[in-house]
Amino acid sequence: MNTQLEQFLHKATRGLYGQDRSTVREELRSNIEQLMLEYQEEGDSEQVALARAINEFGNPKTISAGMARVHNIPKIVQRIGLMAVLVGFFITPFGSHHASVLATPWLDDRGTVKTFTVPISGLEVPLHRAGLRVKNSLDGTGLTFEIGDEWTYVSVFEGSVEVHDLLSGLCRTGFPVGIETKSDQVALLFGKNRIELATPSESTQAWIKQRGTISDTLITDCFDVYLKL
Amino acid sequence: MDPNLFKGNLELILLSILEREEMYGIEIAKAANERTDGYFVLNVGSLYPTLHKLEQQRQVTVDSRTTARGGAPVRYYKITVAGRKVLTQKRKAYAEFHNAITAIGGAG
Repeated sequence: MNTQLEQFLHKATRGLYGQDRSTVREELRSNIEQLMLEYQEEGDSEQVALARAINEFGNPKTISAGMARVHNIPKIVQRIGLMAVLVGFFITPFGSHHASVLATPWLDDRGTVKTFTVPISGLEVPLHRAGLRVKNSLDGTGLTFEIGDEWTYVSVFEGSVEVHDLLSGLCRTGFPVGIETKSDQVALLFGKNRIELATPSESTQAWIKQRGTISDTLITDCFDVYLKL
Repeated sequence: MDPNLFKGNLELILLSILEREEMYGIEIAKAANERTDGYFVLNVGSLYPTLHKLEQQRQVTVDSRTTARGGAPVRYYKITVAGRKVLTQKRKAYAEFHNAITAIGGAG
């Protein structure tokens, strides 16, 4: 065991836990080892090669901070989200909440959906009920969804939010979120809430037809919203 | 090189490098340096958090195996179909931004 290497790995993985910590630790160790072997091939002694390799990796605190952002924060948000959903389940024993936000997708002359926005006025109460703090940004151009110390931002224009942005923002909070479509009806699934988003109409049908292949079930990968909706 | 520009485009840079072939962390840092004639001098350690983020987002997959040089297995990163789509989108967004800056009069 090399003390210098172990100290570096300890600092670079501080704040990580379990499998995440061992995965990062072994990846850094094996990559440092590769650099060492290369430097030794160039003629360095083992000690010099190790010092050079570790130096190439920079400040270990920067690595641990970056890794903590990637590995720890999403888990914390997921856990808080799960707890909030469970709490919501136990305090709403008579089934899920239903709410309606009437909106109509806007089509261009060719029948292509250009925008589908929903007014935020109808969203705030059901989102609050689900355990999410909803706040208007100071300049009125956006909403923040807050849970614990985490928050996401969604753009608002003239009191309405794009459905795409809404789903992305909600998904990033770690709450279970999904969308359900039936014929000419569109509903947002959020925790125990089912929020009707659109007025049944031809344009709603067009939106459903053109929205792509995103699943009707809960969205587990927020990136799907970006790619498919 | 403006570090903010670099940070803001790190995912684009990493996906671009992985577009051609799968690599492990050290190789990625070297490729960035060599392909840009030394313009990108990556702090190797700073790459790993972003690589793990790309892995979480399924833009890359990981395969652990030994290198030709030997030693312990390293994690090779390989771009996925979703990663290629994101790369295309990021390139387009970057090109649009560059064009807008040029139109304003920031270049030439």
